[in-house]
Amino acid sequence: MRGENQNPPLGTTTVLRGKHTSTTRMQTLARALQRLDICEQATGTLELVTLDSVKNMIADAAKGRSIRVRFITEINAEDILACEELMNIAEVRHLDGVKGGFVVTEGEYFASTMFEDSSAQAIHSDVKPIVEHQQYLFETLWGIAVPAKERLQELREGTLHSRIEVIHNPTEIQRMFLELVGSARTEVLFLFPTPNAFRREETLGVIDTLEAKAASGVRIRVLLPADERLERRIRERRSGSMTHIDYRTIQRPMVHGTVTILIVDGQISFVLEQKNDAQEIFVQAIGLATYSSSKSNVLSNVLFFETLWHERELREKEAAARIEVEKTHRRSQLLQDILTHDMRNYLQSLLFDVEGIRDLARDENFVRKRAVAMLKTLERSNTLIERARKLDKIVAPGHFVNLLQTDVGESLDRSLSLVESANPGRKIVISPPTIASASGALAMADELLDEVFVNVLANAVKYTDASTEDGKVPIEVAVKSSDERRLAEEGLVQFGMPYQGSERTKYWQISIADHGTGIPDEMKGTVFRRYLETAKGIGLGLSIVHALVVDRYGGALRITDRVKGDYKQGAKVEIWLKRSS
Amino acid sequence: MTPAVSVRNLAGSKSGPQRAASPDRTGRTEAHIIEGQSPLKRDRDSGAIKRSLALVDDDRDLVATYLMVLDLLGYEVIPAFDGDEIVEEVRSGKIHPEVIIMDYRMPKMDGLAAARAIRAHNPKINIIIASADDSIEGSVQPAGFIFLQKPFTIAKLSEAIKKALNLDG
Repeated sequence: MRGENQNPPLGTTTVLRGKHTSTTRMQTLARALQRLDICEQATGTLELVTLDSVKNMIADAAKGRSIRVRFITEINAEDILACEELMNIAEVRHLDGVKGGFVVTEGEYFASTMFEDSSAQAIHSDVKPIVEHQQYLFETLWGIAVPAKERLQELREGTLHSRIEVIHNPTEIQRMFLELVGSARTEVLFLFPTPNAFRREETLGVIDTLEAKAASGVRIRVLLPADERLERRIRERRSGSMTHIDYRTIQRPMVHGTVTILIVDGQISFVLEQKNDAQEIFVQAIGLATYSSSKSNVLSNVLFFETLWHERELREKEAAARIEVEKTHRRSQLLQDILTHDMRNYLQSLLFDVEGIRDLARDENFVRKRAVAMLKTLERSNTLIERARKLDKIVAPGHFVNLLQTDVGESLDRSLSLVESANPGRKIVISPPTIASASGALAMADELLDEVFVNVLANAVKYTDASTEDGKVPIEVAVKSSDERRLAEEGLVQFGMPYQGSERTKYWQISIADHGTGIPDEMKGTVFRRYLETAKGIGLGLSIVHALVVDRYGGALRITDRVKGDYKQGAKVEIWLKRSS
Repeated sequence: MTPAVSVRNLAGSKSGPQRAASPDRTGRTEAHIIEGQSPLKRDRDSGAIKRSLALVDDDRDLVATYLMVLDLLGYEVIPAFDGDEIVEEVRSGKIHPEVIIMDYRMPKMDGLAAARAIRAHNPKINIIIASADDSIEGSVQPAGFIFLQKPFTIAKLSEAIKKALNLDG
């Protein structure tokens, strides 16, 4: 169509068909000097990136002639790669529903249907008002179009093509559930509604899969309401596994106790509603499930999980802080108790002796006896102060502990010598004669380990009748290897030894059995605990042992009978210390 | 803490050395309990009647010192080392002390609980509760027991025993 105007034409507007279409388009692209704006429907964009001639022409305009090239198209999930390629040579924006295509330069306008189509038609114009009108149109579209980067991100996050699906078939639910757990690449969040839900899914192999995932670097966090049996099971899993799943126990979830939430890689949530928690088989217990890749759905589930997770974390921190406060309180109570009770008892003794000497002395022998008694009292009060100071130092908050490889056998030897020299006339007879089992036993402890053995051995001496066997103190010592699982089986976690990490910790178990007067069952639970409970009438020696072994070294401690069931045959102190690798 | 008065004249009699308490981690004292002991015994030297006391304290060294003092004051003393032990001995009728001197804080049964149990069994036995902790005085005295705060002088002890034996008034 030629312009029919009588005035000299300001330009020409031409309708093109067939091969002239692509030739004119290429010429338009080649003639651009200042701006090159292209708007193209999605299929056209795909075509464009496959046509080297067109692609090179645009690249030449952008890089060779330094022209600003702008490109508007519809970007869909299947166009991501083409779009990324285009982004290397032009500024790209997305607009929904772009149809056809046009090119506007500083002086030309070209509009066409398809790039390589013999039946394609096109319009070319260099008429200034038409070009300006198309420039205005392009600017308007550019203004409302979305930058390609944002669009690509949305596509990648699936926010535009999210899927929400309710699945009713339990077998299909199970299949999808296992598939999802197995597909995790970065993170899995799991919220179990009941202990039974955990057990069912463990039977299904889900926890094994999670452990395998954790081993390959996927972060796994599990929230669950645990009963005693389940807590034990989790401890067993942790101790038997080299990998680490973060477990946190909660009260029943705030919503209701019927929903299992699984979130994979922060992108997919799978919510399972159980219809019968008493059922042991997964497919029999489950009602329906909702699969969702909707960003808002997944985010709300993540938020719910994180809220519970952090609430639990805060509670754990609060509990730890409370323990610290209680510890400080107990510490000050203990010191006060020592001053008011123990020291006054010693003063009472001294006062009686001094008065006795002053007013009741009958002869020199009497005076000497009382003087000896006074010296003993002074020595006891000095020992008490020394022990209180030591214990206070061990349990002081913020006290830095640096555990080192420590030889158990050497520590036992040193302690034996110390106790013997402090008890002249008493001979400690170790059975077996050499502590061969302790040879090479290296534990994570420090120089205060001697203090542990000194206190235990000193007690053995104190409570073994000096009048029998010429004052000999028979003691049986054994050192053997143990591990965290055995400690859990023995129920020794009650001494406050938490599971640290997931690796099964190895221990040295040191048993020291004496032939003393023994400890009745009702007192076994309190002999270590004067520090913990300001227990009445109990010395500080074994509290020091407890503070060192359990609190400082993260070990465990137990007192039993040397001969099972007959406490009068002597006491047996068992100490577990972490092995040094 | 120096006694205000001399205790020499408080000593009513002399007696032979008291058997020492051997260490015992369980607090059991069968060896020291004199079965079926009468509350009234005569001193071997003077022939004077010796009043019978029981002494309960878990600190064995302090018990030994107590025994020395009470012996010099002229009393026959039955030692025990925990509250439950003295309750059992009194209830079983193995011992018949006129007065019991009792520590408050002991591992198995505290002095006040033991005193109440003994009083329920035999209201005639007077009980002195000795403690380093003065906060318990408010519980001891209203219950009808005599309170002695440690450390106390021999004179104070003697005075409390006499009061318990109704000898001072």
